[in-house]
Amino acid sequence: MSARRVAVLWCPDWPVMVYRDEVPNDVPLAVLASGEVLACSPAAREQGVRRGMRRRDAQARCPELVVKERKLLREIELFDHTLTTLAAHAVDISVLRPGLCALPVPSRFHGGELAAAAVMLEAMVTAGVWDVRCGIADGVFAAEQAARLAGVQEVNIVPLAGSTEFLGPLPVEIFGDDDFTSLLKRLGLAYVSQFSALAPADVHTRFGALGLGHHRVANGIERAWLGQSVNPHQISREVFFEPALDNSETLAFSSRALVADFVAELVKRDVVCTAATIELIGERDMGSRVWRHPRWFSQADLTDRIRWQARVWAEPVAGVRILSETLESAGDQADDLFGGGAEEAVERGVARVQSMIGPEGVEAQQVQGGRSPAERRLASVWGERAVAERRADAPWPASIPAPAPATVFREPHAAKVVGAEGHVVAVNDRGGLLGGAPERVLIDQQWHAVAAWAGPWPVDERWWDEANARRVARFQVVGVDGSAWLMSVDNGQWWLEAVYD
Amino acid sequence: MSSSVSAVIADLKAQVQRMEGPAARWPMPTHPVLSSLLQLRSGGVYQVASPSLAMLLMAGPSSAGAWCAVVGIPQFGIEAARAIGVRTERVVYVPEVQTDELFNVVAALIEVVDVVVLAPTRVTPTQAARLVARMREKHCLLATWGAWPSADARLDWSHIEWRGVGLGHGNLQARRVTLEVHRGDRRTGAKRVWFPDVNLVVREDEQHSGSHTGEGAVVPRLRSVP
Repeated sequence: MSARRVAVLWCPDWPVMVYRDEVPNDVPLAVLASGEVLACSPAAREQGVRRGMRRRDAQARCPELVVKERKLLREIELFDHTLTTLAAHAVDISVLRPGLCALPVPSRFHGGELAAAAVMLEAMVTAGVWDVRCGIADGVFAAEQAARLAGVQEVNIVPLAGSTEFLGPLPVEIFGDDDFTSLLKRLGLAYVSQFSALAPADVHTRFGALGLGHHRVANGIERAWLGQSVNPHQISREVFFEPALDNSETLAFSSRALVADFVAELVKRDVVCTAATIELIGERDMGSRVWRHPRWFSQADLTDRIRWQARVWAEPVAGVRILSETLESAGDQADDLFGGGAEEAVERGVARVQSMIGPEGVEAQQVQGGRSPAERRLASVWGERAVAERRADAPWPASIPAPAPATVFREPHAAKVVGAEGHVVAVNDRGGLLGGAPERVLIDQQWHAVAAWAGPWPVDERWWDEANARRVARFQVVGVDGSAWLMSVDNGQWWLEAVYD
Repeated sequence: MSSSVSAVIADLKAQVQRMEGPAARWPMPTHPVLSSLLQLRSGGVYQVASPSLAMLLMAGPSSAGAWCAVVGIPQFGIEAARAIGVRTERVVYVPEVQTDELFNVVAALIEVVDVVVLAPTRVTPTQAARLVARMREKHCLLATWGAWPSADARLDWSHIEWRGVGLGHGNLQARRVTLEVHRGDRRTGAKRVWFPDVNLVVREDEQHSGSHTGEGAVVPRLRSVP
């Protein structure tokens, strides 16, 4: 049996397409979302308008620019409408987002993949979309990247088992995950090939399950088609409301059927969902957020997430869509299924607290690498997987030796340390003391006499980064009553970082 | 009349508590250094004088697999907690809570965790009584760092003595303290302990075991260790 292949059709600047009947082709047009250019017509692009520009900057570049607000619902409708022509030639089309769809390539199409792509492109052009590009590869991700590199009405075919080679020279930005990409770049990994060459075990240790998912994709390992009408990566369920709902509780209630349907599909496929994207669709804009779960999402969990997201969403909600981001085999989680009774109760209780004070109000904490105790704390929103920036098991020269302080301030408190003469103690370039040995410290408006002290431990933080370089020296200071403090001096200013209390 | 009625009610309540109380209060795992001074019990409220002492309370139940929650203490030092024996992956942190939400947050946590560590902003005696009643039902324990209307016991330390640090040399290595347990206005127990010793273990100081009871028996001093 031949391998299943995937075609992705990409119509660039889809938000602009919805205005094609209102605005003539040669008039420069920009569509804004949240005050920034989301997409612009080729005529506007010629004049220097770019995605992400503010309205005023875009108009400065191109004074005759026509500016429109985004109409997301129209985008969805129009794209669905456009696909009806294509649907006559192909089955199993799944919409990834308006302007982007994926479908399996018929395995024995007469004339091969190139001819099949030509038929798809022609169908789109017949439907009135002139700028459409096609990519074909083993998986959806690679096919999408191929489509983005194709010319107008052209097809870009990645050979069988060629995804890794194809993706290798592309920049890591293609993962579309800003936090993850910036982490990779800080580690000096600018291209996909550098990332995909890492050992999977290392990737998992360093970047967690999320990073491993990206790594698999970068190595061309994507789930095969299940032969169903939805993309096997993504179970997608959506519901629209007429009129739009502006109350998060009403919305959560009205979304229950949607959530139940989504979870039923998971059960049917014998998978669990550990990460899901929830999209709230407003009249003009769409709010999308990826939620992760330390175990997997139940119906109640998903309803909670919809409620939380709606609470910070300004517009009335006209539609909700849930997309599965990470599906794991239910069998892999069987240990938890049988042994995790207490944990499940804890998750539910914590979710209740998150409903009261907001999801960010509850944290999980871990220890990561770093020199100061505050750096070594890795706090993450409860339920989301934390990505450590620094390894805990690597040696951290000039870190403060154990025992660790019980109080570690998130932001250091201003303090003062003076010598016998009453001058503020300072540290010179070579780590020597100026102003005499510490005699008294001022902490929270109170003076304490010093019984003992140790230091300085000079720490040149970020020495490789000139702009951010700091010359910090740390001290341990003990008061006569046995109180002990971890303090630092930074350009003559003393700070209290932690207390051994 | 009314005073005698309320006295009768109070008496009946006390009787009910005597009958129900012991059964509802299970002993909970207690850190070895603490166990001779204080047996932790579910439904108990323990006031602590410092975050390290809160960690010492957590260590017993947590190392036995209990879930803990730390509320209103954004500066909670996770490394120190781990060193004492707290399984930090089973701790839920709620760093900042508004005063008006505190009661509801703690009430929700009591339902699912075994130990709540709290820096209370303001809790009325009525709210405190309701929380404690619920804690007894759910076999949960409360450690408060700060005032609480009525605590079963108060854990404090004194005569803190550091080792390893001098005048400009060394580093903090070990600490000896006198661990004290108070009930009401009375000190019911005290003990000299390493908190921690040079191997980072919290343990009894054998040199002083048993003999140290009164204040002033140990003169706090700092020795410089070259």
